[in-house]
Amino acid sequence: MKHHSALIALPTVTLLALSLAACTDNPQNKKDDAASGGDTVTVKITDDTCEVSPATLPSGKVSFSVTNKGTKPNEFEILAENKLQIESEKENIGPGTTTTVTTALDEGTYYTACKPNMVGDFVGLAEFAVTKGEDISVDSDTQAAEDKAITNYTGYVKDQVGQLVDATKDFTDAYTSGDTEKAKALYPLARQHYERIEPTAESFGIKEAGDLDGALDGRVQDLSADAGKKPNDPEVLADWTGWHRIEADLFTDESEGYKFESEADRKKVADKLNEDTKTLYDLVYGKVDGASGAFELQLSDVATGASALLEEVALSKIGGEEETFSHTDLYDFHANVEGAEVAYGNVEKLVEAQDPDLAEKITTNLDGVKTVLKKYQTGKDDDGNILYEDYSKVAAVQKDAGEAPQDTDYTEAQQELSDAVNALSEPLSQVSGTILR
Amino acid sequence: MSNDDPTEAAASDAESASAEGKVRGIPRRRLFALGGAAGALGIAGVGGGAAGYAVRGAQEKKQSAVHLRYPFRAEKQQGILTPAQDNMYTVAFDVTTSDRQALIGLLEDWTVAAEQMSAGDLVGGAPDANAELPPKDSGEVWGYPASGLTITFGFGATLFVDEAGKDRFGLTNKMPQVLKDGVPKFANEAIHASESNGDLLVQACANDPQVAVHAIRNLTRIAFGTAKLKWGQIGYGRTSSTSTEQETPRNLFGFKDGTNNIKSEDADGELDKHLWVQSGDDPASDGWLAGGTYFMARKIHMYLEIWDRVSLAEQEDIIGRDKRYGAPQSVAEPATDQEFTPIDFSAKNAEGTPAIDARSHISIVAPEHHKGAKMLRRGYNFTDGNDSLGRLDAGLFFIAYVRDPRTNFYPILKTMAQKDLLTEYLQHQASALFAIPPGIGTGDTMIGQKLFT
Repeated sequence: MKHHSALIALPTVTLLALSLAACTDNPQNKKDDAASGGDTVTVKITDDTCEVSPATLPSGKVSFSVTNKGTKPNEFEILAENKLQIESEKENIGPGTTTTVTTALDEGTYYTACKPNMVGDFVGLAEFAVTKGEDISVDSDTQAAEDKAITNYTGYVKDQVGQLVDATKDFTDAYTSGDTEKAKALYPLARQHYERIEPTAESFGIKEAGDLDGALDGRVQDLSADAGKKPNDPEVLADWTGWHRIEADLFTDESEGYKFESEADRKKVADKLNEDTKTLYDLVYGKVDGASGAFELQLSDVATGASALLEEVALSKIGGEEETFSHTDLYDFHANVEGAEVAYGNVEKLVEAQDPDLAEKITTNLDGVKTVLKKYQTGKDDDGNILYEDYSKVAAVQKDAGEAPQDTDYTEAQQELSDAVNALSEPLSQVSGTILR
Repeated sequence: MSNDDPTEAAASDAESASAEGKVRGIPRRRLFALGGAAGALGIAGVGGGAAGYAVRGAQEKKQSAVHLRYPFRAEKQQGILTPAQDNMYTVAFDVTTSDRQALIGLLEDWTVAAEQMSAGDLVGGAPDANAELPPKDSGEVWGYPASGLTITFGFGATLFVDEAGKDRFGLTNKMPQVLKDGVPKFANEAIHASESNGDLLVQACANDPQVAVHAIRNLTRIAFGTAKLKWGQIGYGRTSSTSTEQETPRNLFGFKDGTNNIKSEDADGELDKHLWVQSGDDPASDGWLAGGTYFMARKIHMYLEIWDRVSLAEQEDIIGRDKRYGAPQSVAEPATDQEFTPIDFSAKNAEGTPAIDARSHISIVAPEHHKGAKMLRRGYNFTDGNDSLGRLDAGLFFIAYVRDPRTNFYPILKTMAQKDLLTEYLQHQASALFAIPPGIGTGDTMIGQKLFT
């Protein structure tokens, strides 16, 4: 995590304390960030003035009560000392309305200004001095909430990797013993443990073996593009390991050129998969160091975890490129969303404290994605795992690493999934900036 | 984008634009002075012969066109009578939410962003101090001038009622009859529903294509989760002039098109008669649409390869004008300044037959053959690549603004589809009808505010 100037995240502090308290005692009040405590500044706007009073305050939480007495919609901004960057703002304040802008300001020089019609030069640009007052360095509640988010998410990543080791073993056992049907059934389920945490796992390569994600989850489309050869070219296949190599063997017939020639080949790729998975386990559990040192998550990893998982969905799941042989993309999709929900869940309180509207938007749109996914669930297996429809039956997909679908081929199901992912991705992209400091 | 004083623009006349702007750090005063000096040079004709003059003139025109800036708040929306810019990106959105408040929120956010972009500012104004946040504006026109950007909004029939006729946002009792009726079917058309109509219309026009695309991109981003793009059309080479100061452009058939158009300089009476919805036109929508207009678009594929094999004489007979100057065929010997010579449909040629074929394009669409009905044309050429047979997928994105399409557009299109010689070389592939509310009032916080109050 990068450490930015304290200015950025100041609003977290007091608000968080408030809302954490509210959450414990009185959940329905958790969004109450109104001016309880802190200083109130009165801002009176006309079309050509922007009066702020008082113009000096001690540091801490500040509420600006802004009234537009002019004839034009207006904007109130609190700017950094460079007068260029916005610390806090409220746009489109209609004539005759009053609104509250709440923020926490550290000691320093700021500027306040208005902007009629939200365009052009500032009106009434004035210095706003914040003197040393209440110490608004991170309080213990915020620090505790952040630590907890990191601890919980680290625990989740470890848990998923642990389960991945076992599930991979079960899957490869069925595969190498020739129980093809069982292997096909276990394939998407075992992979879910990886898909839930993929961006996090991806970011921790190991020194010796290079790109662990490439070895575990590499796609033949990428290898063939790099080599400038067909996907089923023997040279391309020779370098291909991991889940999708086995997928190609399991889910295609002889004519396509992906089948292994011998059981020995199958055993070799299965052993390598188990070995690489174990390496990931050792890395996550601190038994070996990664390329950039020991595995240790930061708040930024948790904060970006959710949006990175949604990126996975938008980039390769919608078009069915990830599971081009098995068409089990909806299992990955489900796992990506579950992983995103967990990652976000760990920082949700921090987001709520800072921006309750954003938190609400994320919750609503997360429900939206889950509702759409539900349409394609076909039941549960004996272990309670949710089963999904073959993605190629509901969507236009890339089949067997062949040509990607044409834009005009996309089905209504795909459009609906894509809309839901877009709706969730935009607010999730705001999470890091909202809670990091 | 530049950080100009909005009051300058706001104070100027609705249809004139401030030519001042700050480009990539050059103070706007200095630029303005440069523009003025260059303009004077152009008029004086200094600098190497007629050819040099023409090139220089065109460059200067282009230079000043990107510094145009139109006030966002005015009695009428911009992008209608505004002198047609060089580039267009028009899109339709479908609203995905069922929450009226979310829809209002989108229109408010769009209004703020549109006002900022029209002024040459970044969406969201100054950058946020928090570098961990994705920037509010995508940034590809940061430091660019406003480039005459106009953003025009409209409301489609499906915003009011869904396919089953259900009231979506409590707006049905304000739905205009024109939208209820919809566009009738015409002969020889092959309309694709997925590229037609929609809930919300956004027409972005600018003299720099990147500025137009930036506008649509950022409005689309704001809409995620509330509305999604349904179709979009990028157009170039405006095919109409909406001001007497603009030269009539050519369409992809190589002819001057839209000569006989409504112009912003026309008397108010003419504009009220043909262009603007009048109070009393429709009791249901009077409260919010009076002073507005209707947007009617037709995506017309042109069979260019076929047309290009037609002789010049036949091409001119089909259009009814000479190709070089755009003079009507009733002018015996066309010359440079005869484009606007009134058309004489009774004129005979040397053989004693009518000089202008009754089925020629100009005859078919002439207002005198449609009870005087006129429209404001504002279309653009398009080229969307090619088909697998190597033929250009190109044509005209026809746009007309009219007071009432039932009198000012459908009858004309009906005759055209049935009789116009030109129809053989055309196919209508998409259609769009939207109600365009009047401009955004001084104190309004959103476009179409009266529809929602």
